[in-house]
Amino acid sequence: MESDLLQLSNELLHGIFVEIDPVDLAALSQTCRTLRNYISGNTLLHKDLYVSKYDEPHQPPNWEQELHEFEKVGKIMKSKDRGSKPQHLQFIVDKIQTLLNAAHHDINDSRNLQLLLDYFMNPDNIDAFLCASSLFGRAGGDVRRPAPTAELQQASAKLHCLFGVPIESIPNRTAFNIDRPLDLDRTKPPATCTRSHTWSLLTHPYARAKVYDLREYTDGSLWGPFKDDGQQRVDWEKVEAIMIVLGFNLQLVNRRSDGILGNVWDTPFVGAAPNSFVNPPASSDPSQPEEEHDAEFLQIRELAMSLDAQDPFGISGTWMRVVCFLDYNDLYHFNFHTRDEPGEPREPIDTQEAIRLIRVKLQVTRIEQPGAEDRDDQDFAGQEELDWSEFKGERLPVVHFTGTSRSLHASWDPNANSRIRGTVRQTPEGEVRWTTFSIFHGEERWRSEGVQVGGIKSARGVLGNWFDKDFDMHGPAGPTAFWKVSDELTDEKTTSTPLVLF
Amino acid sequence: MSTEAEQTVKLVSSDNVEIVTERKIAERSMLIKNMIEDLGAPGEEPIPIMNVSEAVLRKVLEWCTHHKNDPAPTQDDDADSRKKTTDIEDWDQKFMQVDQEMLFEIILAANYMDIKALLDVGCKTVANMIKGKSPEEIRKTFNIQNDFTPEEEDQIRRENEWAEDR
Repeated sequence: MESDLLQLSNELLHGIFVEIDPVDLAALSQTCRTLRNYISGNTLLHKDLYVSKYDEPHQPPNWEQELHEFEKVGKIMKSKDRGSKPQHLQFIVDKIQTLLNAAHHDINDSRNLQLLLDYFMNPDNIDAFLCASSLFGRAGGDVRRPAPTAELQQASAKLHCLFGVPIESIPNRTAFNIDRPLDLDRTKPPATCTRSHTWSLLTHPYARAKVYDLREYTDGSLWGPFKDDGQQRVDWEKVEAIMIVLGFNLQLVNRRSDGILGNVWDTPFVGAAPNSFVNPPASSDPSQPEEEHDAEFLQIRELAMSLDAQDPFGISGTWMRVVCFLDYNDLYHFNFHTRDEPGEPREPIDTQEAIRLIRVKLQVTRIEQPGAEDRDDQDFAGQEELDWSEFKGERLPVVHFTGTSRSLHASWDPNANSRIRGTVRQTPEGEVRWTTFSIFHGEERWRSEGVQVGGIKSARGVLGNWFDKDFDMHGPAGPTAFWKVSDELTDEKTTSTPLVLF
Repeated sequence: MSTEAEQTVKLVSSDNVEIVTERKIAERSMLIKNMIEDLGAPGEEPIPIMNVSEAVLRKVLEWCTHHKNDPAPTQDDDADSRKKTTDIEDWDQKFMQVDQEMLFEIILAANYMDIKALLDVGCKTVANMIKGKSPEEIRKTFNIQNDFTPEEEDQIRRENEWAEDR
């Protein structure tokens, strides 16, 4: 007797197979030649199954191949075999980037973001993929291990940055308690146990030791989150450390202020894709009449709008910035009074830092052709020619901006208000690099170098380092981040009250 | 009640059995709906349903009767409105508990008579019979002969490595 299934027309087979789970295609292909020939190379079927489970990418991919890859990601993520996961680290990081690049910016409308969120509910996946940078060689406790190569450690750090919710400690779970029998510590008094236990599980003291280590601030790395070879390649382990420290500090701010910052860095992977920033709906009162403007004002406004239209980086608008620093004595002591071996990371510190929240308004002032020489970069000693041979895609212009910074803290802060200028440009890796200068009373004082996590116009924003614009090797220096709040430059009334917290 | 709702139509199965049913029920089928519109005088002339036997036609009409008050089917139900497989409602699930021959007959009839919602339920039912099964289990379920040579089997297993449990 012939199989009824095999008698069906291709159209009806399609109708049935678009209802299965993509992994079932593999079993079907292995039943007989007819089904194998029907499935293999069937672009329409693979596309329909792809878009029923994943966000449709902007550019059509190889549907069949990419569907297989994404399903393999799912299999690895759902695997109960902890030990088999780390070998897939690079594959997972690459594919998650593909999933993120295609993700709808709104998590409620994004199948990819929902899937990723679901995958990382599993602590085994957090351990294997997000906690495998060199940082976890010291901060990893018993269950986390750095990946075997520097390249893989970078990959894991980058994924952690894209994940965007700093992993601060090992979550409580039964498996962990079974792995570490408590009676090992019975020789010590209970209080000591608890403290040493907790200490080894926190990541931020190790991250802070990296962020404030002035040996990391070098000309080759532009004093920012880059590798030390002058090629502006992002050092994701630096970015990861900055994220962990700032994430910890922002949580402190929220705890002390009843959540003044709202939800920052609390939803995995959200905002970590190009173009994920979406201007919030206007909060201004629409009944307000438009002010009368003279001809000159209108001309300036028109010029600004035409510059904004040419700016691919979405600079103009209002940004929230956070800057942290150690008390200068602490910083100095940490860097110059400890005996660390050269090349060894410094001891972890949990010294409390000062935190400054700043509202920044930026406006594009000038747009230059791609690769335009950067006057500011000539300050770095021994700058080499950048190697663009690996660059993929379209070279974007260099965009200059100016603006104002206003501290959200009480106005007694001498650094409360300043001007800011800077540039945004691509690096040869295609990352988006931000340089800023803070200007007090007409004089440039602080500089920052940062990288936009998630790429161009990401909602996540920029993570980087700030430092003396004359590169004082004794500091001060520290971490900074800024993310866009609105495309508008107008003030929102509700947020203009100064913060009195610290 | 409009008079249209009370009208009856005469359908003739492929094995020449006449079945009288409400027009509203019969018009779940876009094929019949279009034919009635073309014929102009519903109820008088019997409508031949050429590819569907009496047993299958009665089964299909049973489904149409249960669903006669569903929102009218639209011509262009596209992929967006497709529901996930888990969404088969209880009554439909019971309705589809038939032997495999009948199940495929219903699918063919629904396709021929252009009853989108019934076709969907049929396809989802078959899809659920495939989900999560091994190649051997699928062969057994659908009476499929394995016609691969051992070398081919080997190669195909490698091609499908992506779907292996990890």
